[in-house]
Amino acid sequence: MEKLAVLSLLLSSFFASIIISLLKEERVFLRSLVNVVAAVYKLFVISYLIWSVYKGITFEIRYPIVPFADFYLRIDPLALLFVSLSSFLWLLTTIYAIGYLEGSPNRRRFFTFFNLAVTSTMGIALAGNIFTFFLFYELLTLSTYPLVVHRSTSKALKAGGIYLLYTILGGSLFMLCLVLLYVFVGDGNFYTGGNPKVKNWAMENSLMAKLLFYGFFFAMAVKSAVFPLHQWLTKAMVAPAPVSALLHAVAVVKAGAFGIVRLVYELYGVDLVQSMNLWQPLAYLTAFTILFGSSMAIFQEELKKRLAYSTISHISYIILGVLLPGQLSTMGALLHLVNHGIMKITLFMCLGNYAEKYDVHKFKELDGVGRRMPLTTLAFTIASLGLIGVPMTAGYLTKKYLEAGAKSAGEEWAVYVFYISSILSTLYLIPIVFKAWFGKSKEEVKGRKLEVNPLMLIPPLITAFLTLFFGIFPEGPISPLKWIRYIASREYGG
Amino acid sequence: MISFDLGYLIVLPLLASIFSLISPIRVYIALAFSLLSFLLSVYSFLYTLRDNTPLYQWIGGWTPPLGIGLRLDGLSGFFLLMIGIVSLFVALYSISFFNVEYKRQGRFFWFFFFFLWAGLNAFFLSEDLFNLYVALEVLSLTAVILVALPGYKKAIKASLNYLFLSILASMFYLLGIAMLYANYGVLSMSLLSQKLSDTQEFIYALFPITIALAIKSALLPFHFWLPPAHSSTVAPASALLSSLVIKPPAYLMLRLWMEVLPKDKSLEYLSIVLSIMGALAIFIGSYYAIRQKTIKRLLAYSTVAQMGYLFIMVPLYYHGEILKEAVLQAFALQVFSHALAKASMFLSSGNAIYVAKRDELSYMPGFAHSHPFTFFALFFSGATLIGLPLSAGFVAKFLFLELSIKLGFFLHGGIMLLGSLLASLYVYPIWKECFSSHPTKFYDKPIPQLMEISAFLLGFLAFSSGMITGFLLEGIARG
Repeated sequence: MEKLAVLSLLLSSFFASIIISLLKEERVFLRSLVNVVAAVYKLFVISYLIWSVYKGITFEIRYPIVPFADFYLRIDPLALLFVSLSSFLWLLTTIYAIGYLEGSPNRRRFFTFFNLAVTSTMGIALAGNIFTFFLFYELLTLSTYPLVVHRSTSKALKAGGIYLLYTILGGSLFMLCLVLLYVFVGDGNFYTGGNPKVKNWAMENSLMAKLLFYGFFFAMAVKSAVFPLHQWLTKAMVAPAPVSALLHAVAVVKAGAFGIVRLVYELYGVDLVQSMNLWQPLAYLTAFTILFGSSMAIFQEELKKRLAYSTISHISYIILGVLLPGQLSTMGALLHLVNHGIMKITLFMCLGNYAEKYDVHKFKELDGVGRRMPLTTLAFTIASLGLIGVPMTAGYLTKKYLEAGAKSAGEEWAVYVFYISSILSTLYLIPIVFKAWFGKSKEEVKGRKLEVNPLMLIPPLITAFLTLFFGIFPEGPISPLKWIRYIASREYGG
Repeated sequence: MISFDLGYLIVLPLLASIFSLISPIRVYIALAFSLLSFLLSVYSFLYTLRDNTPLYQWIGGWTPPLGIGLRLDGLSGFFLLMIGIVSLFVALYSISFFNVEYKRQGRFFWFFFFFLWAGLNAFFLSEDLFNLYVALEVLSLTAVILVALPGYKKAIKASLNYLFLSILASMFYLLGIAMLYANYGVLSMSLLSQKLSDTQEFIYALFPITIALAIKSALLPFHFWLPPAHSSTVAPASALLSSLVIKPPAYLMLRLWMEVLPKDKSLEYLSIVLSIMGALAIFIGSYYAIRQKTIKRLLAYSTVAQMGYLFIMVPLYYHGEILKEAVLQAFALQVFSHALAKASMFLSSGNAIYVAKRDELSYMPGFAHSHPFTFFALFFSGATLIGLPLSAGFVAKFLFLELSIKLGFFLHGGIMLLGSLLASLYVYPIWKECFSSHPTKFYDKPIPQLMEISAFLLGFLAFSSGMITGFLLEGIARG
């Protein structure tokens, strides 16, 4: 039963993808039905799994792919966190995408690969060893390429090429490190608190262990767009809004961040990362990325690009939180994994609504759009405040945890990085909000039907609501904080 | 499992080839016999998986050195499976293909198709060097005719070129086995390996054999015959040539290095030379593949590059005795994944040419918009050629990389990884063209379903079989 549940988590979106690929382009209703049913079904399975994991039952599926490495899926609290985040947002994005792509060509292909991408995200979350993680990590690259080039303009094709270039180079580095790990250590399983075999080996071969750690880190940093490797993300913004929303704010970039979580906590283990001082140089790099992303965002005229730079910055919040020693920063990082996902997806969906309804793509075109689309803009405003870290929003919580974590780790400079980035976030988000609400528009508001259709309106409203809810009731029944505290205490051996 | 006469694996396709020539219902004959032979191949793979010992049979009960022996072990069983899969799908494709294009050539195609299948099965079942020679000749001659099949000038020229080189290669090969036979009086591989370990003076006989095999498998300085031959014929024939016909010589090379040859200084040098040639083949083949403007020539050069992987590994065959199983597994999986992926790609290129009526890349239809299954085929098989997970190509590269690090051949591993990157550079233009939007209605022309589905299934199998390699690898390691 449990095995079936784990497998069905993976297979529900995979089968959805296959069924959709077989349906004719015109079967809109059936296709939407398959999409939504698969997504809802997955949420049911997850709630069942959360309940059983809470009772302490863990389960796994494994069989060999090569003699020394297994295909290994496993449910643990960390996996469940990522799985439930991405499945929930997947459901919302699917609904959004159905509305957004209404009447546009090639929806069959879009949803086929969209579901395939979600399958790979599930695999990334459930992977019980780094080998399986790599399999799905690369499958994610492969399945998102058609989504990036979906519009097939020459700009999109070029962006797709750059995306492939970055990810395939990163993938090769990953593969090299992976093989080295399996040759030297022979075991890449994730353990709470770190893989003991890796620890023993790293004691004796510290140089090699260091190199491999950095190798893995940079291979994953490609997807999470850490500074010198961030170019592809801003280019990939040519993709349709739902893709940017789910994949470039949640699934793909967070797959990288999630990989780093696994690498630091469950492969090498916090003790090792701290005792070998592996984290410090990388912490400086991510701190730089935070500031770099935030400041670049201020100068972006194109709204989606602005958000892309913001994503670059905020993913590095997560990574910095992971790297900084101490339970508090771990909690901050994991919280931001969830909260940033919810907030950023809201922003992207709202931008999608602007673009769809009034063809607003650039900052200067925003004037007065808020008065025409009050609900969308309300959602946008809440999520913006959240990203800045205003009290009563989810973002405030993560910021507090991250700052407290930095302080308790004795890294005062990191606190300032978070402060400055908050100010920079204000500088690139608040002007949008102001211009949308109060900017003078040339044509005045007329008629009743101003908002987009409900399929595109409700998802961002839900996520905006959650941004507030998580901020106001951090210990509430569906808030992730409790779960995250549980995970963090496990990793620190509590 | 019930033992069976290995001869059926050869006789069945041979019967099919004769029937298809004389019978008016040749499409049904082709379908029935393809299915039968395919099932038999699957059965023989499962047989090796279940029973640990290799199966030896002597045709007519005559034992070696006089009689003809057939051997089925894990490795050959696995290759039989590969031949079965590729041939079955190529057959399905061809049923539709010769119905809409090259109608006149259909009858001859089926004759040579089954003849080729028989030859391939015979090759992988043979155990002594002379039978291998006979099978190789059958393959080469059939292949030459398949190249000339469409009948236009370009194809005939390529075919003649191919013929001359094949004959040259055969002479080298004959020279080699004549030298061996004159000195040792045996040609069976297992007997030869015993004799060679006693006296090593005639090891030089292996040099002409090596040259012959290098020519036949288009190793670098001898690669020039391949691109015109593989690119100028009809799509299903190209698929067979590039995915199957090219592999037996490399397989023989593996068997010789792993099972027959003793350790000798001169052989070590030879292995280094071969691996350098293999590395150059990866680089130069990829370079030319990247520069090609037509899809079929691109694929043909990619075959040159992919064959390079098999030769860059030769020092591993030589030094890899302790890890023999792993070497066999890496080799077999590379051959398998390339065979399926390349066949799928060539079949898809046939679809492209069917729609666009020309084979320039820039004229390739935007399959991602108009023909999703051909697009999926190109997508999955391209990923397999690059070696992206979950494909079998990935597992092969992973195994090979692991081996080369374990045995200390870091450079070889590095070149392999680099080769993957180069492969992505020549696969990428194909993917990109799939998304290009040509305004003309002309490209919406429907492709017969069978042609799309068989190309797709091959690509999908190549990709998804990476998930069941545990099972496949177990089979390879038997015997």
